[in-house]
Amino acid sequence: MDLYRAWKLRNSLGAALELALDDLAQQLQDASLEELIDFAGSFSPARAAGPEWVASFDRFVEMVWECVDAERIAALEAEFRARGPLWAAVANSFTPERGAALRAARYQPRGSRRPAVVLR
Amino acid sequence: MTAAPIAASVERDKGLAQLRELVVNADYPHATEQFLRLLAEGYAPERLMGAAIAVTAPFVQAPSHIIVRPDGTARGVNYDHTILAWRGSDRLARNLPKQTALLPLAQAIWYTPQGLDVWSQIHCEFPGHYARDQEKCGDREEHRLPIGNKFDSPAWRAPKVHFGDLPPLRDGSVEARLHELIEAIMEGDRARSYRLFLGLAEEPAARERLKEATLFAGIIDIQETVIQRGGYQNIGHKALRARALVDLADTLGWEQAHDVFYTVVPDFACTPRFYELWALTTVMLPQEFRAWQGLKQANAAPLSERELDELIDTILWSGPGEVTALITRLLRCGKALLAIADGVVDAYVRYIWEVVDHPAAFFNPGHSFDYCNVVNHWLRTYENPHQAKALYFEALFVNDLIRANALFPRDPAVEIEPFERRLPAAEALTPAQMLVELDAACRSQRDPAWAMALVDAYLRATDERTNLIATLGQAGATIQNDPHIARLCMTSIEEYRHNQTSRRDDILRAWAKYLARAVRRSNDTGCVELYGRMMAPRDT
Repeated sequence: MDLYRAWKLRNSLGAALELALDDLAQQLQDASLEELIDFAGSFSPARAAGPEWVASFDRFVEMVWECVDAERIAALEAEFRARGPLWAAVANSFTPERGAALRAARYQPRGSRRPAVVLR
Repeated sequence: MTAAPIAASVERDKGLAQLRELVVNADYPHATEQFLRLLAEGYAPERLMGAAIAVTAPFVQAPSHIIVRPDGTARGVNYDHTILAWRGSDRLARNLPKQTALLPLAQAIWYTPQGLDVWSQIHCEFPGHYARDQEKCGDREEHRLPIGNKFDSPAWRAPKVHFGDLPPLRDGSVEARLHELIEAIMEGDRARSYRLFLGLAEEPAARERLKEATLFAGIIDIQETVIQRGGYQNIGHKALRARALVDLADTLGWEQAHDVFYTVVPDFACTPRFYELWALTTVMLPQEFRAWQGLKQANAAPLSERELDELIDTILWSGPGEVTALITRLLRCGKALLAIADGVVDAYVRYIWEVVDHPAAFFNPGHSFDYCNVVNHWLRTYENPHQAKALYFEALFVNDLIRANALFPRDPAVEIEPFERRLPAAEALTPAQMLVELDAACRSQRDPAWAMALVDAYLRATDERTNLIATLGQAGATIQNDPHIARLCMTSIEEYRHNQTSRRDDILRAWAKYLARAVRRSNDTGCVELYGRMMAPRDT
């Protein structure tokens, strides 16, 4: 077992993931409301590529609360609330209370440059 | 054996004839009252149960489990649940203390008149659980009443007979007829399969083989996936019905069980039937194993803790291809069939205990657990060269229902508070106090985290399990209009008693969480109250 090599690979993947998240944050900031609604709709049973895609929904919600302005998040909530009870899970992810809870729970390791990345 | 001897005795007995009228009229409160009155008068529970099944047998068939609408689209038709109610209740009753031992049977008779002629209920042509609660016929403009709901009770017409009774077929050797029985079921020949079964059931010497074949026929009919399939699925009901038949015939006596056969057997060949997983394993096993028929005898090794973790993790978080490959690998490593089967159960309970929060997300996985119980009972009790295939069926079924749930984003509004926060308060109680609190938490469903903390604290505080099982069984027995609950209770009890892994206590954890959280068909307590009024004085 080459621990040095494995740790180097871990750090490289972490750096690549941070770059990907930077790019995603930029895309979310630039997205129109219609684009955000369309993308959030991809986490539904009819449109999802599979359970693995839907499993990343919670991370998408965290990114939205980090990168998207409050006005567009409120519009997201209103859109999915209006679609009825089947969309409650999506609408409930964009309530101000949910946003406050996510921000409070965001884990920033002491002395680190950024919050920790959680994949699942 | 004469056809339907119990049905004839019902006509001759005044009390039973009254019960018959109330059941057929879908008058479930008065049917329950009459049932309890007869119990109090000294009628044996088995006699009343047999009479109730005899009364309903003609009215619980469906022409098909698919309705094709005028526009060409299709929808599913629910399976009869009355027989599942009787089997689950009869078994659960044996695990309860004396003062509540007959409550499960009261729940079964409370449900039974509401479960007749499902086909007509779905078309809003007969009252009952499906018309009232599922189809909400009473809310439709043409059926709306100023007060009340005509789809509750009583009936305004008789339930339909969609499949008439038939005489037995007796020609040919037992071996040939058992083969023909399976063939007729797979080909969808309802009349022939039923007649063959009746002929075989007359022969005591063939009984054990017939029981095995019945379970086999039910187990191999299982859909590959429920994801986006609408009504094209059976979520294990063929197997669940097979188990109900075997258990109830043993309870009533096979000479007295004609109406159980009439209730269950014609439905095996009903449309749709699913043999995709049967086909998969039939092709795959001979490719992988030279002596696949002998795997049960050849494989004896238990799973290591690490292998158990891998099996659980794969069923919870991977796709069907990975699950199939892992089962094959474990079999190649000489792992015992029952060790793998126990691991599949462990995966289900891990999912319920650690993953599921939404009350609506328990229901379908609960069916896969009950299916596992039928498979595992078959593995434990009988011999069949095809038994290794059933490991794939049960593991893929559990995995598929987990994946089906995972297609819905988690709803933060229905998350359960981490139960660990409540552990200190639970641990401060004595074990006896924990059971009192657990019973209340399971019944009320107000605080699932508290129920989880209590069951977890109890399991770590004491080795006692009998009282815990009785407590959970009693809490389950108070839930009305829902035959799934008694069945789930019995699956939990049986699998707990047989599971050989280090994780068997998790079965009791998952059971408690299910009772304290899963959505219920009804929160009414009319049946429990009636039982208390009519039976309590007798028991004290």
